[in-house]
Amino acid sequence: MRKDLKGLVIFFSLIFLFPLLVRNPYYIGVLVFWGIYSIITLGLTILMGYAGQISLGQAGFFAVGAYTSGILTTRFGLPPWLGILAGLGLSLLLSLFLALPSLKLKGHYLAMATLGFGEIVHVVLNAWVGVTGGPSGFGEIPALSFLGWKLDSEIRFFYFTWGWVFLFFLFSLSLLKSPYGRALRSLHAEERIPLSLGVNVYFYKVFAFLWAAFYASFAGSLYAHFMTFLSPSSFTLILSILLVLMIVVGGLGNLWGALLGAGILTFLPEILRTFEDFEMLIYGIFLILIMIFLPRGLVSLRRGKVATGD
Amino acid sequence: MLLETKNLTRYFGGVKAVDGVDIQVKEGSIKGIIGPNGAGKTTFFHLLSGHLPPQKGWIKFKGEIINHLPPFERARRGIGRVFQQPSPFENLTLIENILISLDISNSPSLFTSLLRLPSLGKSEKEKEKKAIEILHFLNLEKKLYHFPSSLTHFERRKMEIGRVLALNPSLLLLDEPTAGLSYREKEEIKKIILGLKEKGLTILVVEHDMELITDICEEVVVLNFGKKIAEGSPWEIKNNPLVKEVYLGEEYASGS
Repeated sequence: MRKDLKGLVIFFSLIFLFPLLVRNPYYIGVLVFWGIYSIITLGLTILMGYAGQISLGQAGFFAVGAYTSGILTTRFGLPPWLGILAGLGLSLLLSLFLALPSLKLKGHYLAMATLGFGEIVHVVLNAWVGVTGGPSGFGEIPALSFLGWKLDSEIRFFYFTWGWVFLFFLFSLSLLKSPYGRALRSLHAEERIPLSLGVNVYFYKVFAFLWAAFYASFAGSLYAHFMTFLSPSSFTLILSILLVLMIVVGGLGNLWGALLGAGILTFLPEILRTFEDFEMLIYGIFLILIMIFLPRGLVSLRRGKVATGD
Repeated sequence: MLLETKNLTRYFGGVKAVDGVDIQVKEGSIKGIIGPNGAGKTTFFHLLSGHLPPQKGWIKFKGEIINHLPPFERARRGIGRVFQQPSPFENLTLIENILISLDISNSPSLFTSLLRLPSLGKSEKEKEKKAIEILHFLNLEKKLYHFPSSLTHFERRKMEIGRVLALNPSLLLLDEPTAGLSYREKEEIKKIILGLKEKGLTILVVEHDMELITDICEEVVVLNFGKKIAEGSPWEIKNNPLVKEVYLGEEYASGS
């Protein structure tokens, strides 16, 4: 834990210094996206790296958070914090509804259920025009305020977002370093072993799924207030898959991997844009090379034992 | 009776792996289960620990039928099982492997854990102390922070016993605890088992090593093709002609 905390201080100092060096709002905007995706992956990595389950519907929870926040604040004039809490509540409820039956079964039923969930959310966003604005979406979502600060510029939102990334990193780290984390880490072994030691494997799988949904929903609310505009095209299956890729590229079950993977796959398309037609080709080759040479993700480049990575 | 089974039956397709077995285990006793390979000993343990459901019969533990309970519930109620193949949590250190089972009875709330409130540290300290006690009893206290991959086969075996002891079980199921161990290591395991009996644990042990069975068990059950074919003191079993024929006979005949 001490090693992680040291890394955390260094990493976040660098991040927080960034806007002082680079004032271009475009780059700061990209960093905000990195932060928002990081919150999702910091939760998702607990599910994928420990409970051994995949969610192909994380964009769905991201959307639930975003739309709940957006709709409640724009159409009903509720304060943004209530919108965020309502999104979290709804996401937890939906995730419980998905996880309870599908995790009772052996195998990747949760992956299938979440795939369906993501698609259903997408369809609802498109079809429920009266509430969601349908395919063209809706805008004018009010900006967040925090301690009297209106978060209406890229820089302010940047600090706000990364402040939350820091907190969510700490929460995930605390979880992994607690008895709950030990139990989650024991799920690595064949199921019969933790079961025979009194660990309720089913409970921990459901727990990890709820954890991941909570993070995604919160990130969605941030997204809504940052973009101030929402439309269904931002919440597709492609995003769900991208989030899974971020975890795999960074390193499964490792919090640093989750941060790193989210960063790389956020920046890569921006960098590759200069290659125009070859963009997707290079992107694909990059992913294939990572899978061949670093199947355990980018964090495996570092030999030192970072505690969160085992 | 601490544990009682009646007509316990499990088949796989047409094969009766466990076929109508009745046993009774008294509190504080050590009972051995022997039988040739494929006699159904491990399947019988699977039924007791809840890793397989029986098709017929019932299991009573502490006077209560436990057929419907999942494995982790049985573990929490005091049935501790050590598997035949050592299977430690490779990504946890030795002491963490023990802490997993201690967490079951002493775990602070999620809220306390996430905010790392002082009571988390207190309960962690308590558990660590308990874990070290257990590892001391098993002669493993020098390797607390080693990962299982750096432990010997013998040490891994003992770690598994420690992990189960941390559950504070009343019944211990040992599946061939001395398989693949040297003479000296076997002696140490024997001492550990007898030490546990002294602490009041009830033990059910599957073992091929007749010498160990004779030394530690008060009573022995013999299984063959899933059926109980004999039960009695080790001495009675050794002199039972039927048992000699199906089980010990092979060894006598080969001169070992």
